[in-house]
Amino acid sequence: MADSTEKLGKEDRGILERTVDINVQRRVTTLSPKISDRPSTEEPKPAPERTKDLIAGYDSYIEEVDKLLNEISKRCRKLEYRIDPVLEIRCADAIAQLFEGQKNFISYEDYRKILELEALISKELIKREGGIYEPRVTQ
Amino acid sequence: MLKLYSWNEVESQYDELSVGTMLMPLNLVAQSLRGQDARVTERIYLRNDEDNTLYTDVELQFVSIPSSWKAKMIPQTSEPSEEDFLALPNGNIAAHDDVSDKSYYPVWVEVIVPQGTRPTVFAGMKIRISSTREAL
Repeated sequence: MADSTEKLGKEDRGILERTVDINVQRRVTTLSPKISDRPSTEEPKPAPERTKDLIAGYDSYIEEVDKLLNEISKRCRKLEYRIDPVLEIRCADAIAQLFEGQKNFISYEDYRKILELEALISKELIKREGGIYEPRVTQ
Repeated sequence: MLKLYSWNEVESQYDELSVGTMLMPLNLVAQSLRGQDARVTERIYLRNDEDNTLYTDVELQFVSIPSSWKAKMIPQTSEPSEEDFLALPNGNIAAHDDVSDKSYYPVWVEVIVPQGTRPTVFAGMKIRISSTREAL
């Protein structure tokens, strides 16, 4: 890869060319835990305060959020994404543990909050990186 | 000699980008949602590490850009907008002001990896710096 050449013209002048090494890493973020495809009859609720706090700090913690999203996706894939109440609880539990660290059980209300958080993070990511946000909750 | 550097936040120092050895390459992480192009921008620095030397006709350019990728650069202090980059041709030649001191001059780079590119590491692209050197 070395490509450094120098061609002298006059005594004190010369054309210099250097090429510098680059690594480009391509990464993909998967943001679609299909648990959120679950039909919902509830009206959308305002984001809970904790969610807002997390989003407010988003710019400062972009890497952490990216890791979190990848972890959510990974864990949800392990749980097979099925629209199954038991799996939903387990998946939500896994997500909740990511947020809470210690928590091993969450209510359905908390689960809804996590879905709202995921939607907000999705919107924020898409706002930063382009694209159109399509809500995961289809009904 | 004109060299390119990246800022090392951990060590709070400028790291000279390697030439041909890949020991200190410019590391760019282009991340996107699945099915979307991945865009990454980064600030690097151009610096003359010699005393009593003037560099004129300074130009920077990405070379060996993979097909369907986009790679552009803008030498300026403030961060360019996405539209600023959009206005430039792919692989643009970025002209830089003459350099005679040993300051670190910011250069912003943008790389867009197209959707469908498998997550992996590419090491084939380079940045070429060309200039005319004159002893003062």
